[in-house]
Amino acid sequence: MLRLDINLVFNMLNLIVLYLLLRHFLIQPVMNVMNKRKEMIENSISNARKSEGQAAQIKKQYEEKIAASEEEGSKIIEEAKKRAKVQYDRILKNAEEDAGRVVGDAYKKAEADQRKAMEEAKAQIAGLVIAAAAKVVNQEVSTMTNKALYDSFIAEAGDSHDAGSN
Amino acid sequence: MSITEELAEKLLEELNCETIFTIPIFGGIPIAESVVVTWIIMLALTVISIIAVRNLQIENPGKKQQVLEMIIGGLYNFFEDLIGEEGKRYIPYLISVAIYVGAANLIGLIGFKPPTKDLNATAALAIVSILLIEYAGLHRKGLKGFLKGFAEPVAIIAPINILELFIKPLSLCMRLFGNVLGAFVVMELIKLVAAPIIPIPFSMYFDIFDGLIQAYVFVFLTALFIRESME
Repeated sequence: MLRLDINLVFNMLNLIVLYLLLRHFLIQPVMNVMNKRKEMIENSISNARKSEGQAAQIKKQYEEKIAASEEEGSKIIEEAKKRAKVQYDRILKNAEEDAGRVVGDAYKKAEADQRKAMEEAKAQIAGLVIAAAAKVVNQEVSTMTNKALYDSFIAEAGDSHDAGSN
Repeated sequence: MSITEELAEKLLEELNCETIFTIPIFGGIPIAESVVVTWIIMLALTVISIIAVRNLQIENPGKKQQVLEMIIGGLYNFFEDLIGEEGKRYIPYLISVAIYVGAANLIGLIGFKPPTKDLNATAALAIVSILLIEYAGLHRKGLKGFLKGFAEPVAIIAPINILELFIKPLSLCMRLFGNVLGAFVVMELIKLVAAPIIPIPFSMYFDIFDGLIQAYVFVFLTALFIRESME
C-alpha cells in the first residue's frame, strides 16, 4: 500500500510512454483533422467574403455604367432636340423665303402681265383712237406721226390718271 | 480471531499492492501490480486509439468520429481555456493524463486493481507533473526569470515558494491516492457487510463518479499550476 520503490520509476516511464503513444495515435490525428476542417471552413468563408466583395464592386461598376449611359442618353436626346429645332427653324425660314419669293414672283408676273395688258390696251386704244380720229377728222394723216402723237397723249393721260388713282 | 480482526486482515490483503513478478537481474527487480495494470491500460488505450482514428475524414465525419472529436476537442478546449494560448504545447500531456487517470480509476470495474491505489503510481504522476510545471515556467521565463519567480511577490516568502515545489506534487499525489484508497476501502467494507445488490449505487458513486472527479481534479490542478508558473 504505502511503499515507494523502483516501481515509481517504472510508473513514470509508463506515464511518459503513454503520453507519447496517446499523442501520436490519438491526439495528433484527431486535432489534425479538426484543424484542417477549421482551416477549410475559414478558407471558404474568406472566399465567400472575397466573391461578395467582387460582386459588390461589379454591381457598383454596372450602376455607374447605367448612370453614365442614362446621362449620355439624355444628352443625346437633348442634342437631337436642339438639332431638330435648328433644322425646323431652317426649314421654316426656307419655306418662308420660298413663299415670299413665290409671292414676289407672282406679284412681279402679275405686274408684268398687267403692264403688258396695259401696253396692248394702249396700243389698241391708240389704234382705235387713230381710227376714230381718222374717221372723225376724215383726213389722211401720216399714220406714224399720228400714232406717236397719240402715244404721247395717252402716256400723259395715263400718267396723270395713274398718279390720281394711286 | 474476532470478526473485526478478520475484516481488517481481509482489507489489508485487498489493499496490498502485490509484486506480480521479479526481473531476475541486479538481485531481482520487483514489478508491482500497478505497473503491470498500467501496461494493460497503455496497451488497451493505444489499440483503441489506433482503431478509433482510422478513416478520419475532414468532410462528412461519421458518428464515431463526431463522438471522438467531441471528446478530444472538448478536452482540448477545456485545457486551452485553463492554461491559455502560451500553454498549448502542454495540452496533449494533460489530455493523456486525464485519460490515463480516468482509465486507471475505472479499471477496478473490470476486476483489476486500480494503479492509482498504489502510491508509486500517484507519486509518479505527481513527480512528472511537477517537473512539467517547473519546466513550463523555466521555458517561458528563462532561467533568470524562473529563479526570480521564487522571490515574488516579496523576497521574504521565497522559502514558502521553494517549499511549494514539494507541497504541490505531494498534495496532488496524496489527494489522488487518498481518494482512490478511501473509495476502495469504503467499497470493500460495503461489499463485505451488505452483499449483492446494495453495493451497486455506492459503486456508481465511489468507483465511477469519484474516479472521474479525481481525474478531473488532478489535471485541473496541474493545468492551473502550469499556468501559474508561466505568469
